[in-house]
Amino acid sequence: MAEISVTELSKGLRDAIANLESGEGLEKVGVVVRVGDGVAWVHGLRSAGYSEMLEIESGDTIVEAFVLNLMEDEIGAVLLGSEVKVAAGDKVRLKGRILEVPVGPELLGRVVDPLGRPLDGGPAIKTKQMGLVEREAIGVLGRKHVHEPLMTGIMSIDAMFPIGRGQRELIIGDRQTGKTAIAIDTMINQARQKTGVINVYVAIGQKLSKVARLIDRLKEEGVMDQTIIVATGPSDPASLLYLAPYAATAMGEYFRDNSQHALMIYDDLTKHAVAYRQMSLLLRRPPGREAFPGDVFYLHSRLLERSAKLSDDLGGGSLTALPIIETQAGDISAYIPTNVISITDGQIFLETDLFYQGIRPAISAGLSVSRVGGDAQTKAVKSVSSHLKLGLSQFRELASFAQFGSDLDEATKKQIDNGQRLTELLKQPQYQPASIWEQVASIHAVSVDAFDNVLVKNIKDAQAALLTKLWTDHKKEMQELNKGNKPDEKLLALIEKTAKSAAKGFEA
Amino acid sequence: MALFRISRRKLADYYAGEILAGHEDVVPQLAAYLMETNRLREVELITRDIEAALARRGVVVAEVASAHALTEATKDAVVAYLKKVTSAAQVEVKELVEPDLLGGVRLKVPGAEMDATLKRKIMKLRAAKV
Repeated sequence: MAEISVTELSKGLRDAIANLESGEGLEKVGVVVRVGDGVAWVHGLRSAGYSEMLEIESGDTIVEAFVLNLMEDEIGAVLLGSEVKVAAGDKVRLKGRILEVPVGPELLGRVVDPLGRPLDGGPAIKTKQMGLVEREAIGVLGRKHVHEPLMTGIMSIDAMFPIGRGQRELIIGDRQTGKTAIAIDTMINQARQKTGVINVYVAIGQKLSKVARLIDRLKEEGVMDQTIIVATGPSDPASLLYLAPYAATAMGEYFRDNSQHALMIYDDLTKHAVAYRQMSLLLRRPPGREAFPGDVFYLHSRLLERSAKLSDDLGGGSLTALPIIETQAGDISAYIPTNVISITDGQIFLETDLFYQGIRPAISAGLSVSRVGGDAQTKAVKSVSSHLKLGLSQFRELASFAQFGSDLDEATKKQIDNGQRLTELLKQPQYQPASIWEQVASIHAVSVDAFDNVLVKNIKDAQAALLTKLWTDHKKEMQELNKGNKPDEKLLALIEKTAKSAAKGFEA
Repeated sequence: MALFRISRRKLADYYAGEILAGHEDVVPQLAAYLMETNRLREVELITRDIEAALARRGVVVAEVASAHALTEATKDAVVAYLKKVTSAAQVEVKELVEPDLLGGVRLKVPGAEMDATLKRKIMKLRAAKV
């Protein structure tokens, strides 16, 4: 066989490409047959692919759409803009590519829509790169086990349900139980602890006033510089709500693929599923349970699978996901909650009852779990918090039936007392994430019974006194402890001693 | 009796074959079928589908629109170009003069189009500005 020289090959390729380009003049076109509810049905375009972009020429404007239904005689496309201008008979062109959004560090500090257009009144966003909205998740060999901590700054989470970089941890609970608050505190903690983690917050159909409040808060806390907000409101078309988490994930993946760490917050996936249900029903796909389409599991699994910890060969970056799901009357066995629970690596369940008892964050110790975070827990916190979860779960169980009788044996009474102290200690106001040393010192003080004689209502004051004392008298040791290494016996003894002396002012 | 609904694509393929085979009664037959099955609304779409099916079999019905009438030499060039890009054996050209295109030419073949008119260029500029 004749040998092909490399120079000839490249010339041949260039000629072939030039030939292809000369044939480009003829573009595939179709025509809108009918339009309504954000969906256009198009005749023609037999070569259109799933999720491919379309341009609908209506009058003197162009409306973009993407293909979701491929049928024998027509295709169904979901409009990305207003349908008001689109009419039957409008010409439709294939763009020959799937949806892309701008990605890169230029987006930091900006508020954008799912197509990457600025919503904050700032200048147009010009990035060097574009990222595919729908992209395959990284394969098995490209991944590494989750082993680095992602501190939320919320004591009960970091101590009992630690989250690692690359993990998917669901935040689930009824309305008004503090789901978004946990996500915001986690974002704030990244800035306070200077972890370098980039936050990407996706508002899916959230009230725009709530998003505006959140942005103000993040600016106040100095978190916006390392945050991207992708916002969609309730009045946006369902197609934008559907695209929002995928587009935001593409923005987060840029950092993951460049050896950085990013944190995705999807607020919330219940509304995302509802938007997808609306689109599917309008596209006349058969409804299934709760009228959701059959592929609603795939909708979320393919999204959350993109969060991963990459192998060292791929740079070791990570994308952590905190999806949020809203339940109705605490029912975690509904369709979407069970789906997302089974996809994620654990869940933080927030209970309305706890919330109204003043236990905030209202995390249920019994129903929450972190399946992969154990390896990722900071050694310092791990060393003092191993017994916490069991103790707290047992206390909640005991406390519920201790209400009915007062004849309790000493051991049970002691367990209940300890539980009450622990519960009080783990209460944490919003926007006040705790650093590692604060968490270790507080938990250790209760574990070694240093606060045993302190009234439950005074526990928070005793804790504050302990932390102030430790920081003023032993700043150097605390700074060392904050690095996350396992504290030695000497340091633990120092904390215990300081705790006992701090408790003295608050004893009954 | 309710008839089983046949897709437009299958109808178009069948009638394109019939037309090429030279059967003359296909048009009244199709008209009767559409009337019977209450699908008169689809007349335009079926016409397009038949044109597309014919194009796949090598017979292209093209429409050439321009702001001013084309010269014979330009027409020949257009036919040659269409034969090249569609690989069709036979190209039939319908000519249209549309002054509002302002300039340039628009070629339409079944399922595809080349719009090199000034009107479209201006529209694209306007859309980009938005």
